Amino acid sequence: MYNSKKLFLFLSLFIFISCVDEDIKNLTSDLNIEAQIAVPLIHSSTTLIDLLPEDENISIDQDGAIRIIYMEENIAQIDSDEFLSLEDQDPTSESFEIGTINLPDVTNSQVISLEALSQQLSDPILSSNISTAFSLAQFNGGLAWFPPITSQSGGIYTQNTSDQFISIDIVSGSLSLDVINNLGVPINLIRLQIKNQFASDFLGDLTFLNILPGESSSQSIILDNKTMLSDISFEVVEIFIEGSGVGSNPSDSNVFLPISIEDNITIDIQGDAFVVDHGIVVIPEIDNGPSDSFSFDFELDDGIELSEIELSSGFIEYEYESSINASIDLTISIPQLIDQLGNSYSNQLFIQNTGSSTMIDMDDLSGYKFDFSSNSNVISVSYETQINSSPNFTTYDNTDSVRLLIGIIGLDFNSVKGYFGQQIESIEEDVLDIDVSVLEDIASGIQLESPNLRFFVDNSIGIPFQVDLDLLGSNAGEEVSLNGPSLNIPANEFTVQDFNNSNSQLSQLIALSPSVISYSGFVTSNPENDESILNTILSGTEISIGFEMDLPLHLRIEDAVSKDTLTLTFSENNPEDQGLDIELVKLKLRTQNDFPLDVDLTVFFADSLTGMVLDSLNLELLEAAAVDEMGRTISPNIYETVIELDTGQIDALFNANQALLDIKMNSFDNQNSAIRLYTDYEFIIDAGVIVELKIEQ
Amino acid sequence: MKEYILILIALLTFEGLAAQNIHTGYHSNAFILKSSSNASAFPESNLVIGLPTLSNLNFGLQLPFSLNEALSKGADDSLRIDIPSLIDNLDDGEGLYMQARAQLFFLGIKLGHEKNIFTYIGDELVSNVGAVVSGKLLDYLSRGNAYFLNQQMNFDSERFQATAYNSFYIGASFRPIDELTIGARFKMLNGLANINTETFNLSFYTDSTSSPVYQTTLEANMMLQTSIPGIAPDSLSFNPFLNKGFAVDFGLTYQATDELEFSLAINDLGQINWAKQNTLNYSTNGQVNYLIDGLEMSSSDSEDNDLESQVEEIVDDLSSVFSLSDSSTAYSTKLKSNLFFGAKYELTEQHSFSFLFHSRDQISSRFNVFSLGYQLQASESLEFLASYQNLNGISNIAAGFVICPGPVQMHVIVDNTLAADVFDAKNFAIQLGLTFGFGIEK
Repeated sequence: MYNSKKLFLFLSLFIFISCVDEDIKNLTSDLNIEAQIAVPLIHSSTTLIDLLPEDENISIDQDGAIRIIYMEENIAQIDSDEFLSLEDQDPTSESFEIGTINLPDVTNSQVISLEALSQQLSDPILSSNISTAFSLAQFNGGLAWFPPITSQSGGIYTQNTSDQFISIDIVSGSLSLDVINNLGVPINLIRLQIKNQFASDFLGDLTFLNILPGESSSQSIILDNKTMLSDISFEVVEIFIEGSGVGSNPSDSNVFLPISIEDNITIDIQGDAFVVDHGIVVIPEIDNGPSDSFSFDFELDDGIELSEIELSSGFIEYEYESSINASIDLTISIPQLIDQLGNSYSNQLFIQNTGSSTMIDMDDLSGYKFDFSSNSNVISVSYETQINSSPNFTTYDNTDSVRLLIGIIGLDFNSVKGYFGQQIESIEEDVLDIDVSVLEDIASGIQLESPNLRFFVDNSIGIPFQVDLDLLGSNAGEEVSLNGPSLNIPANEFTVQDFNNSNSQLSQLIALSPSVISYSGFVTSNPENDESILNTILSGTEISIGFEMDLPLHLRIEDAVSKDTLTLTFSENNPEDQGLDIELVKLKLRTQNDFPLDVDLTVFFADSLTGMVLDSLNLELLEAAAVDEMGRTISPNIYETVIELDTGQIDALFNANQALLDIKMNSFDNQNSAIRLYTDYEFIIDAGVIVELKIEQ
Repeated sequence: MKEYILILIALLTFEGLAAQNIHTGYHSNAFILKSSSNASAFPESNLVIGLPTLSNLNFGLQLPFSLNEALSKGADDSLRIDIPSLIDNLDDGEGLYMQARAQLFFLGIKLGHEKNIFTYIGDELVSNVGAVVSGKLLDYLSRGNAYFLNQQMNFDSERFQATAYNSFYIGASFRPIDELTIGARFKMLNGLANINTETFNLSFYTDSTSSPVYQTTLEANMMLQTSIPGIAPDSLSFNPFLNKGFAVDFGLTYQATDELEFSLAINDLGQINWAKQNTLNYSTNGQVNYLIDGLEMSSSDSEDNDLESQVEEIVDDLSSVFSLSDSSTAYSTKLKSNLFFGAKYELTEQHSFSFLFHSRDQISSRFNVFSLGYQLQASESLEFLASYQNLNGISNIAAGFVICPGPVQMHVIVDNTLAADVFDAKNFAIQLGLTFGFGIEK
């Protein structure tokens, strides 16, 4: 019994402790769990340089500043030839006549022996008497009765006076006759008539009186304007020699006078300084033939006055005709034309009678230079002649002439100095190779603050110029002109001139985003028209115009738009497919905005296949990073926000395969200041997500 | 997710079968119970025989929470796992432990003229399973990292250890004087299976201020040692006899007066060396870390903007970084030692009271039990046992009996009778045994 009590107590204890609180059958494996998973979603960094479109014209400075540079080294070129063209100079004609010539002096002697004279006397007895006297004198010591020759004609005697002409028209000159009495008695009178032999032209009538034995008497005949043949005749019209005396006794030895068969009367003929203008002559050598000088203008465009032309090539062309029957050495000198040794140009032409034809001769002027320093644009030519003696008798007339044409052809220069005046050359219209639409590719609404259009003018011509360019941008029928100032280009200098907002409408032109920028214009030489300025042109020089359009991204942006696309793959891991209900999605965004831009970010969740935007997220406007006075960001603006996604947005997030980022930008304080864009500007979006999952199964 | 959580709960529940040695039976008349906990136990019979597998079955369980703490009632009266409650009750260091011992045989005999020496030989199978999962880890896993932003979450107290071994022992207790008994037991161990988290460090840090946002750093340093048939590289060659170990138990009982007795026992001082041929270790090869920083997009390199490939890359990297490399190296595990200190006061021949302090080494802490017992010798062959226990602040009431009809001695002790209230129980242990004693001195 006692043991039974103890057993009961023991079992009661078991029964007591077997009472349980709950029915174990109600135990279920269902779970209620609400977990919040924080997941780093994405770290997206967008650097400005990557937003830039690929464009060879985009340039990065060392400090990372971005600029767009368009450059073309040569959009227009004007060669120096266009300001000076050395045309062939029309031939300048010059003629000269041979003129009168001076024949050499004529010297000749006519000896009229007493015997011959006696035979020509009109008294035929005299001849025998004289002959007898000769005989007696031989035996009487040379003395004999000299028969008096009373006044009577003494015959005609011919004489060739010169071998230098046959016939001449004497402009001036005289013929001197020196009658030498080689008789033993005085010649009381002798009258001579001189005539051209065959034409009987009368040349002169001279009377000589009382010429003592052994003496002579001279007289001259003025032959001016007379024609003279070389063959002349002396007619002794009258001679009177008293001799032993009229009425004397031929036997009277007292009246015997010297007489000899050798006795004669000699007439020395001296033709002095025949200046003739016509005839048949042997043209004598004339050292100082016709000479003269003349000048002609070097033909250039109006207003051009040259002081020096250094020729690289060129010729003097001589064209001549000659009717002179003698060769001529023609020496031409041009003092303005100087060779490389400093010597004036001189050339000798050998001119012969060309008949009716024309001869041409050329002389190379390479290496010569024209020196117009003392006589602008005028070329002086002087010539001298030497007339060579004709080898034979030839006709001669003082009007025989040489006609000479002097031309300058084929001119090209190494350099030219002078004043070229105001010449205007046009720049043909063309199009600049600029496509500023790249700015549109970056973002729309960009207003550049400091664009600069720089023209490079390389003027290797020694002439100052003024370039007037007309730049015109056009886009869809709208046009904006640059309206910039003229470019003043000093001679021989590389000139740079900028067009910017202060002196042109460059910003307006670029803001137009022109599809075409055309240009044309004029180049004016010596814009100041200052003739004291010495211009120089060298061969091959030119004026070339290039440009560089520098568009620093120093700008203001107003409502610019940029887009980016992210690929989403959340749909592949949609929690709903795994039985998880997403109660909440909190998207935490931390944005580090390096850009000095206000950024308004809208994220569109889209399906790339259908193109449908499933939903979107609008983020609050992000404030631009402040910039310093240079327009550069001082420090990034960090912005953090938590966005709770509603059901639609959650569904869109997991069903979309694309996130389209639509970024709208406004530059920092764009009403009052401009910003600069640097490549290292970065827009960082850190997105993390807290997903609250509810597990209820 | 659900499956993982259920597995974890189940694991915790199973692990709740954590070992608990006998407490109520420590001062009972059941020799086999006393001997298993104190090597100085001295039987009344000259010959003690424990039948194979029946001589002593010892099964203990310790939970860090009760089902009432782990479950909550839903609107439809269904009972669901209450994760927050689980987390609240998973205090640091507390784990889930189970110990099972099955004595295969026991044979002891008194020797000596005075019969004051009792020598014995026996063999038992022992299994210990322990797991510690911190509430913090469960909290982190169930609530998600978003609740722990900017907090360094380190998980290094998590452990899992499971060991099964065979213990062949020889022992002796010696009573040099009537008041004193001392004993020792020498155990030759053969490891049958082992799983041991030698190193487990796991940490997470999710930074809400980082760039990218919610960047999460994972760090891990793990070493899992195993020696299990079927896991070893060449399972066919798994030889448990190569997993040798040795352990000793010491015990002392002192009868201070006729009524008052003190006892002290130290058990399971030893270790098992798991042979290289039988092991396969999994390791991260030191600390590894991985940074989850999401997807990367950069405008500068569009080729890297393939988000799909980036996701694949993250998965691949994670797999690569945290993949465990295997190797075979010898290692050793120490047995979980036990300390018993008891006192018993015999008020009358029928009524006696006892005190027991038991300290047992566990994975991350020592398990201390204070027990007050009452032994009622109801008859010459029947003894009822009851005790109150405080296990690290948790109260238990235990009960059992020992019946000795003739040479047979049988015991049944439930070390937490409150465990019958399944929803409130956190621990449970039961001992069953049947031995034969012959030659009781009259």
